[in-house]
Amino acid sequence: MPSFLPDDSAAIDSQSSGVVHLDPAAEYGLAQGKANVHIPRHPQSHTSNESFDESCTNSSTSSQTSEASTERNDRVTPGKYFATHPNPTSMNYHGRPLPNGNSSAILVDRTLRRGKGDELTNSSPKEAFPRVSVGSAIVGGDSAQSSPPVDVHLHPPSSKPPVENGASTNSVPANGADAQKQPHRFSSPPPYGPNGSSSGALQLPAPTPGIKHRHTLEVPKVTSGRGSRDGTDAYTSGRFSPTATGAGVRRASLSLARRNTRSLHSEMPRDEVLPDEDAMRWAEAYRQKRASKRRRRELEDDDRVLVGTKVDETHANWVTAYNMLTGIRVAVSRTNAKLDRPLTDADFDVKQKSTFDIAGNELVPSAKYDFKFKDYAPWVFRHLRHLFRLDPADYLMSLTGKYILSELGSPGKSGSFFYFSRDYKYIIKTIHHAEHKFLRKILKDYYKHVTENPNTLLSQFYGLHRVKMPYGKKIHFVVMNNLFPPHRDIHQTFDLKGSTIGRDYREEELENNPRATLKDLNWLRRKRHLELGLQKKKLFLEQLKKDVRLLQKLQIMDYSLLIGIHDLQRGNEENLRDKTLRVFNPGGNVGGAGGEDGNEPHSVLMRTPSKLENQRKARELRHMIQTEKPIPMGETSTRMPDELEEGQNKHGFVFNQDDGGFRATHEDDKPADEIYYLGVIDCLTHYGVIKKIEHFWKGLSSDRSQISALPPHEYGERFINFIDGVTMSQEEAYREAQRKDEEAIAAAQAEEERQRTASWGSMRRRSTLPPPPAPNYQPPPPPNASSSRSPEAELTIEKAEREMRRAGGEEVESGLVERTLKTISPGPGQTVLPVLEETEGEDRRSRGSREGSTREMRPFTPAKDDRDGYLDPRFGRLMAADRGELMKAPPTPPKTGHGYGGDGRASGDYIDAVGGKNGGLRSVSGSMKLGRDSLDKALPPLPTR
Amino acid sequence: MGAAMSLSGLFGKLFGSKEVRILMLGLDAAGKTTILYKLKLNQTMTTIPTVGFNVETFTYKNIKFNMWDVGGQDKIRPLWRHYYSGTQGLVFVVDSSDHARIDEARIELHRIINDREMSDCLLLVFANKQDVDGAMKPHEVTDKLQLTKLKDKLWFVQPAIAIEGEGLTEGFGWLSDNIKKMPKYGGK
Repeated sequence: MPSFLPDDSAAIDSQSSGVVHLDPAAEYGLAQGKANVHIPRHPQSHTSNESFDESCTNSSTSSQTSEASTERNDRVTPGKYFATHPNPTSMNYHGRPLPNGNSSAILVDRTLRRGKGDELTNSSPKEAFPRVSVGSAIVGGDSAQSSPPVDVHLHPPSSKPPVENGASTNSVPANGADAQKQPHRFSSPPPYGPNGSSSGALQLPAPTPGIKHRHTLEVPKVTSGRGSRDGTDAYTSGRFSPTATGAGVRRASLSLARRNTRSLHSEMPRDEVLPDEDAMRWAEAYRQKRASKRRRRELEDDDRVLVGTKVDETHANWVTAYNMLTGIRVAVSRTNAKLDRPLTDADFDVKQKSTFDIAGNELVPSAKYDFKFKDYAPWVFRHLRHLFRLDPADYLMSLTGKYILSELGSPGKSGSFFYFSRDYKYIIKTIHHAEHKFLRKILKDYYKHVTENPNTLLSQFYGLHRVKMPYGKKIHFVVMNNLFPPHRDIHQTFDLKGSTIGRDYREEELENNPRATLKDLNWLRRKRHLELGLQKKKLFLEQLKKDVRLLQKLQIMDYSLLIGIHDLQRGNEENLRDKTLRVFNPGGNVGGAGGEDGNEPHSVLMRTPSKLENQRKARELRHMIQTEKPIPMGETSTRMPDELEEGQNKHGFVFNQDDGGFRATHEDDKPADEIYYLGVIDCLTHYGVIKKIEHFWKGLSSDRSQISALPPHEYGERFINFIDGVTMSQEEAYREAQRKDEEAIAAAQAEEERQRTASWGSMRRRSTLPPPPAPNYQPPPPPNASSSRSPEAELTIEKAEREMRRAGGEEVESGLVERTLKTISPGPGQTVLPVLEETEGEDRRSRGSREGSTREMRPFTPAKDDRDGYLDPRFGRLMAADRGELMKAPPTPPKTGHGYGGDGRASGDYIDAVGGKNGGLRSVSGSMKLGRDSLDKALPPLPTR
Repeated sequence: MGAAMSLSGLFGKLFGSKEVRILMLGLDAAGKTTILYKLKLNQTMTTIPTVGFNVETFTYKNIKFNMWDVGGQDKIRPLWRHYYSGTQGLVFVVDSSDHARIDEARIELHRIINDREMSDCLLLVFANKQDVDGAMKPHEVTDKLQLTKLKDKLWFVQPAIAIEGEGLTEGFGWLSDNIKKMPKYGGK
């Protein structure tokens, strides 16, 4: 085959993507083999990135050619086309010289190829008898199949040009030089024209095969494919039975979801028509290589997520996430490209609908999946983003630069799903239709408020969208700011509402779930304060009041102040983010199945909505989860940044001025050791019928002013008063504490006194008695240096603290029954426990079953330091005794496999329930199995009577 | 396969009409948006840096051009790839007077056309801003972009002055000629 050899060598020699096309034989399956042979060689000869790119191109072009051949096969009788039919496309190539190839190149190639062949033989067992050397490959190809070479013979031009070229030069640059001498200097010559034979034709027209490639969905290939497949099978089964039936498609499918990432559309037909078994094996080898390379790359830096569960192709919600991001990208891109203009009233009502499909249309680019997307008030949100000083490009890139999101472990109390953008800057939150409608209704007020209060503490909304998949339900979602920074450990998270009923996170659970979001009672129990000096306190409270006024006006309630606390003394050293957050990276770490870890991710994923899953994916996913362990972040290459990235710091915003947060200050406005990351969240709950009912219902059993469901005005007042009351500088808090301590000690003594003398029946009386320490209805002490609170704030706090003492205080006692009984309440334990049941019933009921096991061992959740120790003054003595033990048992949680749930995502718990629910589930899995129902039942904080 | 079948039908429809999707890329401030609106409206518009995309459709020589102009700021270039799929022609706009960044332009251009989804599209390069003193001549642009290295690409460099509309029709003339020559289009 003299005519053939040069061609082959050319393909090998030039290593340029185009050459594969030039080879007429490449139109046929045999070329597939060659293409794949020569691709793996690149890493040997080139080490640069470019070589990889080239090889990619090569592979694609080779696949295209094979598809091209398929195409043609349509017009040809299956089975016979090989030898007899002149090929329409290669006709086009007639006039064109083949660029490279002379005999000298062959020698070089042979050695190269042999080396490569050996390598491949080692690497993949399937290549047991690879026909590696040039000679044998070709001869083998000829003798066994003979058709492609025969075809080559039929094309005189294909044998001639190499000779000419060989006579001149055969190196690529030289050809380039030739091209430069052409009259068609600034362009490639028309490829189909009569002058196609000029050397300019080196820029071979790719369009033909390529276009076919893109539209490989044209299915007629199937028939011809079947024809050729038969032949293939017959041929292959004779020699390599192990691989014989392994047509690319089937084998590939075993390599699981990773395969989906590549254009499976284009591969199907290609694989089906491969006429050459040899080629198939090469193709397979290459594919495997490429897949592993891809996997490796994916583990690298670029595709990481900072926090949470990465939503990748295997994730149940992958398609939803993909569609969300695609929709956002297109919608935002479309609006942002326009010249800015002032808003009009109509802008607030605009809905822009787009329909995405694989082909794309005049308005939207193509997308992988079919879906519909609605963008609401795009111009308003564009302006809002501007007001919040987001860089449009950053916004686009953070969200949609890569299809990577991470999902918060579980939907919150509201059933919302949370996704973090890859860089942890933004949150995508699915919202209920009612919330969606409500947001649109209040959008104008919100917009106005933001315009007037750029420093607002309210959630920042950046976009409101809806996505709908075929046969799926409509999913509304908002894009908002993430309060918490990616670069700082958040040591504690609080969610404060100013209510005390049910506003407790069980201290016992903290052991298992140290990053849980704590609530009002925990806050009070820790004697926490928002330590802000006078200046910052004023700034903060003024803004908060303005924001709450708006919420009141809009009839909104049930919002909370989310506070993430970063302790500068602890800094990032504990690397909480790395330890507690996990990347679920299927395919990354294949570890042993089962173990305690085995249950963990399972429980998380069980909670993803089945409606959104397509069944196959779910099955795959479950399999994956059972067989693979999540990797702690610390063990992956993933690291949280320690510095704010460029542009991440929101300069000019009061509450983001210190490292993205708001730094605590002393009374004299000197910076203190904590940074707060604060904001008012969940501000889309309209006080509607449901909340009214909740208010009424809860009001039956509890103090009406303390339940969380309150009419908006009262809610807002209580909220402000509470926050006002807990905002004070360290010094102020200290004085305050001293004052309270004295009162409390006195009160405790009085209480003890009473208890000692109390009869058994005093229990009821006791629970209803107003604890003496708080001089409730007295006028507040004259404003001295120590207390700058408003009387109302004082009142709210007093109430809350009383409540806390009732609930929390008792809890402390019960938690440490053995020790406390002696010191504090000498009365029998029975008197204590029923009270406790009463005050925090629903918590207790849900988790009580396991309480016994942890009670004794539980160290008190330590306060952040001694100064602010975990103590109600009444228990001062007790705590003092206990503190020694505390020291020994540091707060850092044991590094168990548990963290996978929701809590760890530091912020994570925007939703009250996340921590609780997860904690519940987790602990249950630790000790005993509880039905999910029983947990669910316990979730809504209903009165217990 | 069923899905593929219907999708292929879609493509068939797309191809039956002579409608092509053209993607216009290039570094920021090369003149892409200006070209787009010059072609569409025959006006020189005031433009802002495009963060995102503009898309317009116009007909020229019986071919309906669905033209996508995607912003070229450094930061958002990674988003280009989302527009590759389904593109039959790439219009790459170069600021010929920007000697400093021509290498950057070359790197970006080669990155684009090395993508497998773009491997088959036509390449039209507008050497824009020819009116500026010291602007690179088309052959210089050709050299700097190393277009001669392209092996399987049909390409053409067209000098242009977008604000005056000079060279634009010529460039699109080349595009439409070659689109018609593509067997896929000619055949139908």
